[in-house]
This record gives sequence, structure tokens and C-alpha cells, in this order.
Amino acid sequence: MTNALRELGRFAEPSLHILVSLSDGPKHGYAIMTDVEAISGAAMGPGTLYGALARLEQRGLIEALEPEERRRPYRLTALGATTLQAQLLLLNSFVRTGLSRLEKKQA
Amino acid sequence: MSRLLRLYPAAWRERYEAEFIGTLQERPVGPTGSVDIVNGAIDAHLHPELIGGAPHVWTHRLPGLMATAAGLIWSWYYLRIVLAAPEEWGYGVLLAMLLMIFAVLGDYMASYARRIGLAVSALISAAVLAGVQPLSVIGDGMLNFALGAAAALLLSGGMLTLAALRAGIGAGVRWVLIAGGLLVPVTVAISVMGGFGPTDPGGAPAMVVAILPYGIAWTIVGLRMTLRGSMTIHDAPTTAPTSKVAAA
Repeated sequence: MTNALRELGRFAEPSLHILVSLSDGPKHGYAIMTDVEAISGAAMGPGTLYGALARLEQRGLIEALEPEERRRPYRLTALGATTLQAQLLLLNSFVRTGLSRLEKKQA
Repeated sequence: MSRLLRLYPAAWRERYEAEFIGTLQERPVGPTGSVDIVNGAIDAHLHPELIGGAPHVWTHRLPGLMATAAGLIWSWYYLRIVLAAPEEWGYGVLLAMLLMIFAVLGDYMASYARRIGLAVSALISAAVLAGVQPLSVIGDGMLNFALGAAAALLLSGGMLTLAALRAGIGAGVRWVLIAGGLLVPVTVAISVMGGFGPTDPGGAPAMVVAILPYGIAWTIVGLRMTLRGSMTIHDAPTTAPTSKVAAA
């Protein structure tokens, strides 16, 4: 876990999900919830969603766009994209190491 | 469900309420989602810095924690009268009163200074307690009792009102707390049951009916005060941040 996400505590994982969700373009709250559920298989409550959005916005990892009626889209910032990429590379390395060790044990 | 959003701080609602309601309209939540919203509200109170406020330090929570502890100790003490029927007055009430005084004075003092204010209020509380304690051994006679009871009622009501004001509780709810936590229960207990001492026949139930709600009211006010935290004149919440970026 990168420092930027680790310091979010219990909001680290939901925040990562949100960053991944926003990686293909801006989304508003409901779209993020739906997308996160689709990509992670776990539902995200609205209290958790807005707690994580507030933290990500405060740290400059995402930014709010102009509201459209009651929907306010968010998008990834350059810093958010860099942080997400670093986190995903870390996870990728972690996953490859884990799978490699598992294969060696099974062989 | 959107009523739960009233649990969030005002600055937070100003920033997120509209879109939150929009999200809830598109995706209504069940009991689990409601718990998640309540958790989010507690988190928002504990982290005002997320929406432009100053972060609370632990001393800001202390008066609220004191008030909550006072309410719980007070409630426990009067429940104990019924459950264990003690023959003597204990120090539970005095401890609760000390905490109540500490909570209110501490919160007021925290408006001007942090640790120094709390330390000074602790000294003042100790001095006030030294003066209040003799009231518990007030002399014999109905006049003394009536005067003592009236003074206690005024002091209790005043303290609860001040605490509710510091907790940022609105006038309507504040009156409900004062009436439901003190005035109505005491009036009902005195007029219906007659007894008022823990050792009088029928006195213990009267004590609980009359005074237990006061502890519950303090617990509610204390929890609210803890979540809100003490505000200093230097770090009152600023206005919520507005949208940072123009349309993409």
C-alpha cells in the first residue's frame, strides 16, 4: 500500500476502488457505487463512499466537477493517477510473487 | 432515509448533502446502508478538517466525554438505588455533579484557551464542589428541604441548559431535554409518589422516576458535545470548500 492510501486507514480500500473506478473517466456518486460493486464484487455504502471521496478530494487525488442537478461528477487528478498507478504496480508485484511461490510449492 | 443526513455536521451537509440525496434517490439503502450512513456521520464529526474545518485535538473532546460520563454515572447511581437498595447516599451523585460542572466550564473555557482553560476549570470545579457538598447534609426541616430542592432544581436545569447550548442543540430539542429530563419527571414523582428520599417507603422508585431521566438527558447531551467538540475562537469552522474545478 502506498503511503498516500495507507494513511487513509479504514478508507484505504474503498479509496483504491474509487480511484480505479475513476480511472476511465469522471463519474458521480451513484455511478461510482455501481462500478465499484461490479469490479470488486462488494457493495459500498453511501456513508463510506462520501467519507472516502472527502479524503481523496482533500488530498488532491480527485477533484469535483461542476454539479449536474443533484449529481456531482469527480475525476482523477494527475496526482491521483500517479498514486493509483504506483499502488497497482505494487499490487501487481505482490500478486505475481504470491502466485509464483504458490506454483513452486505445488510443483 | 435522507433524514439521517441531519446527523452530519452543517458544513459537511452544505458541501455534500445535495449529491448525497441524489445518490440515495438513485439507490435507496436498507438497514445496512443506514448503519453505514450513521458511521459516516460520526466520522464526519470526528474529522472536520475534511471539509475545511480545523482538526479537533483531544482536549476538545474532553468536556463532552466528561458530560457523557456524568450522565452514565448519574443513571447508574439511581438505577443502583432500585437494584441494590443502598441505605446511604453515595458519592455517585457528587462525582456526576463534578463532571457536569467540569464539562460545562471546561467547554466554555476551551473557547478561549485549550489546556490552560481546562486546568483552570478543573480548579473552579473543585472549589464549586467543595461548596455544593454541604448541600447534601442540609439541616432538618421542610423549609430547608424545599429551599435545597429548589436550588438543586435551578442548578440542575441551568447546568443542563448550558451543556445543551455548548453542544449546539437547537432550542426545540433543548426544551424537550429540559422538560423530559428534569421538570416533568420531578413534578410527576413528587405529586404522585410523595417520597423523595432513598430510604423512605416508596422513595427509591420515586427517586428513579424523578432523577434517572436527568442522567439520560446528560448522556445524550454529552455524546452530542463529544461529537461536536469544543470550538476555540481561533479555529471555528470555515466555510465549506466549493467546487474546485470547472466543467471538464
